[in-house]
Amino acid sequence: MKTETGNTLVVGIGSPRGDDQAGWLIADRLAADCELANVVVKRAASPVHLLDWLDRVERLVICDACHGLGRVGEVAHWRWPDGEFLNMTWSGTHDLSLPTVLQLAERLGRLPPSVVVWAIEAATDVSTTTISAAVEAALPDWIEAVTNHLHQETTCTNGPW
Amino acid sequence: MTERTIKVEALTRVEGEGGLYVRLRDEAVEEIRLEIFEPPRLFEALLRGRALEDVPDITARICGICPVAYQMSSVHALEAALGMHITPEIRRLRRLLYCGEWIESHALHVYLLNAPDFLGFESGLEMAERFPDEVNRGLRMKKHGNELLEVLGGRAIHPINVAVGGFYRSPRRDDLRRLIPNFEWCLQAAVETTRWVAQFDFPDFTCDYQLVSLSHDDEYPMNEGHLATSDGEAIEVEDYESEFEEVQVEHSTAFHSLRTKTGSPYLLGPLARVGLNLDRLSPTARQVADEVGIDWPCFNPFQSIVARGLELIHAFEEALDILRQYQPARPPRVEYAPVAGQGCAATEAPRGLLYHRYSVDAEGKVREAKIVPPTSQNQPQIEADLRRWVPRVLSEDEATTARQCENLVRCYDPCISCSTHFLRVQIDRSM
Repeated sequence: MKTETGNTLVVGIGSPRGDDQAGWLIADRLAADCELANVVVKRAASPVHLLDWLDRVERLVICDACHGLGRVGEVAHWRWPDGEFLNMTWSGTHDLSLPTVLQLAERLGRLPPSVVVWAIEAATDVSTTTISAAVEAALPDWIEAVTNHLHQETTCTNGPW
Repeated sequence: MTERTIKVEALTRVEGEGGLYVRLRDEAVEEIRLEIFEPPRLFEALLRGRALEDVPDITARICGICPVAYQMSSVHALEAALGMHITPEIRRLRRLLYCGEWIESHALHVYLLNAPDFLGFESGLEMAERFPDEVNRGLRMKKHGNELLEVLGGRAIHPINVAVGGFYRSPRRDDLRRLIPNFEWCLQAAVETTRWVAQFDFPDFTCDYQLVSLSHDDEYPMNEGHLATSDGEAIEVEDYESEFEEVQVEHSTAFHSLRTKTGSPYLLGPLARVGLNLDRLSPTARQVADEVGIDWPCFNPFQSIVARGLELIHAFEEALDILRQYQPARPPRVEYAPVAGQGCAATEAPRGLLYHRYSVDAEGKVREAKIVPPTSQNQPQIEADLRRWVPRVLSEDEATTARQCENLVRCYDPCISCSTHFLRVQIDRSM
């Protein structure tokens, strides 16, 4: 059953370092392959960039690497404000981690009604510009899971709002 | 005789990861180290063998907060290597792009990183509870700065429209002019911001800086000019590497930069730029600079937040001027043929002077690259300032001391992720 039509923003958060690229890789794939209406896909280098894009968004889907799930390549998702999500370690600079940015948006009345965070466990080595074999192997399933989630939650017509 | 050390494991509200270690003997500072824990940056090596056209996009990834700065320094340095010149229209568009980056960086820093310190909050999140209108004002300015980067740069995060010789395409006039109403709002917001932060309670902490920034006869410096210092020097950019030397230090994966002649540190960034170029600020920025009751040049790092406010005003005012007069640059990019050569350039990133040098071969491939970010240049000065600051704020409560140290470090808006070619405050009190 599809939810009512609304504007959906998908943001892949990442950096060029190691498995922290995962958020960008999924954003690039979704932007290329996902033919869903009212869905806009963006890359962010920091969670703080989300704050620029929340106007008129009804559903926010965030894809990011994290630590705390366990095995590298393991995938999970949470609907805000799930407490377990806050127990993970997220990227984010300036003391503006992903949970903090979402809390800030909520405090300022800017957070969309629906926020879902999709995460993939990253390797800790960020001294390289290549992703780990485990994350590379897990990417297709992660992309498929997020795509299916988007299909379930949005209608299927094309074009940005 | 007692020794103690104070450590801040991770500096908060700074870009990247850094730590601070302080060792005290009988309450006197014996050692201070600003420790950088970021993995070493490999970009200088990564660029070797790459086509020069790839350099702007690759260097943009060095920093998620100031990609434009890396792109600007890289294209100007490569154009110098190729012996080419851009048109006035392209030059104006590059300044417009830089305005966008200064806006989004300074707005973020002022509202979410630095202002909380002066108002007694632990974080921007806490501050937003009491000052939601102010935080929303800052976020709106940041948002519109990023919109400019999207329209002109093709993307706010790691713009893709910057090319050696100009831009891949000129934005449509309507797309840029559509920004004008919001920028007019933002100009007033920037004035309110500067007046607001100028009222903060600033510690009386004056430092004996040598201020260093670009300076230009006709404009507030961004992309071009010579290097000016508060000692009255005028240094050609081509002489940068003989006048400023990089030194490796054990406790940091970032190099430190010092004046070659004296071995002394120096200060880059908004405080230096405003101090050395006050009369070239935009009219409204100049007026507010006179109004806020600070004697410029200012040597109090805590008042950098006011300098950032003035630069927000300037960036919005200059951007409006360019937007109102904008005609698409035709062509958007100056053509060139690859020739072997070497060139360098310095541009003013939000945090200060960013220097690039490239050697390219006749096939248009990079043979060598050198990138000197502003934060690594500021690092020795930050440590020197902390050596004077710690005795003033030392207390039995280490958490309070650590926080005071962090407050000072945040005034420099250090971008640690950029500054390694690889802030945890640790206060060591051994008894």
